[in-house]
Amino acid sequence: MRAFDYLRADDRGQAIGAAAEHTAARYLGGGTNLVDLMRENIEQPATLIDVTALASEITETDEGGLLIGAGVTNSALAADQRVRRRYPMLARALLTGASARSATWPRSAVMCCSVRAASISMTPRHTATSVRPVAAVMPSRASIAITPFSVPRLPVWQYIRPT
Amino acid sequence: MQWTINGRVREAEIDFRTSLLDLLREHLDLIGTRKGCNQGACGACTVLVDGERINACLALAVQYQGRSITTVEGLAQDAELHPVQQAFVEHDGFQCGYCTPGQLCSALGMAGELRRGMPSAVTTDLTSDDIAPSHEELRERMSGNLCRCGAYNGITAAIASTLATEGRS
Repeated sequence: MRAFDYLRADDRGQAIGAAAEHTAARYLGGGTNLVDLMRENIEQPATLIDVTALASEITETDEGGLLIGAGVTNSALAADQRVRRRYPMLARALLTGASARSATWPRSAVMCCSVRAASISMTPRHTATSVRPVAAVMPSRASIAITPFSVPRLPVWQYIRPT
Repeated sequence: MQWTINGRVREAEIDFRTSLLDLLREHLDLIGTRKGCNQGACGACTVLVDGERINACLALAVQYQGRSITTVEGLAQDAELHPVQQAFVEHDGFQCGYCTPGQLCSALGMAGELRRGMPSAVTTDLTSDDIAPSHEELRERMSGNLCRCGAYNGITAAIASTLATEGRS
């Protein structure tokens, strides 16, 4: 893993300001996705901006939707009764998101399953060579952000000849 | 940097790249938390942060400054095992024991999730806040913790018994 600077944002303004000031900066949430990719040198940010201290509330909007704070974890989002009642597909996607990779990714709430993973599970396996966004693209901004890079091909069955 | 680990304030100067797992094992000599896959797949490194379970291998220690972390070393009180540890002994919830610290912490985190009414991938009624810890629910919720010895029957029995006792008390 390449060395990086670590900054902790206390509010939205700081998070946005820090990202504008630093090149090759990445927002850091729970890290289960980003840290793994950094360890493999797939992601090489120069600066990590920790956004876990940002708003962790889910609030009603005037238009009748929900505003999800950047500090809301995916498991908290899936557990929210408003999400469960009004957006069951989102709740289900979050809860089962990592199941397409259950052999290598735990399905429990230990891992914040990302919509990146959810999009894998909703794509036919044989065509899932890269990840396509299933929601608005907001790279690394929120718990349901979409990462814009491709992921390695899902493991496919390989026949190994007996020697 | 400073963390509260098993009720004790601990300090260390570490590289930002240090995972919470490496902080525990390499800097603070708390080797109960295991390093299995080191990529978030096996759950052997599961610890509790403010009561919630996380994979310590994918957590950057710097992010958890000031938080309260519980590892397997913090479960027993004096010479008395935690009820979930006792249940693992009684139900043969382990064989080689490598995954056990993670299983124990994960079970405790999961019990909290159940109490808070958090659904899982197999919860039929998403709107229910009172989810029964069925065999299927327990298996699903513990699926992030692998056991290569295959002691899963004992593990789920131990956890089910702990939850049942908890429910009665």
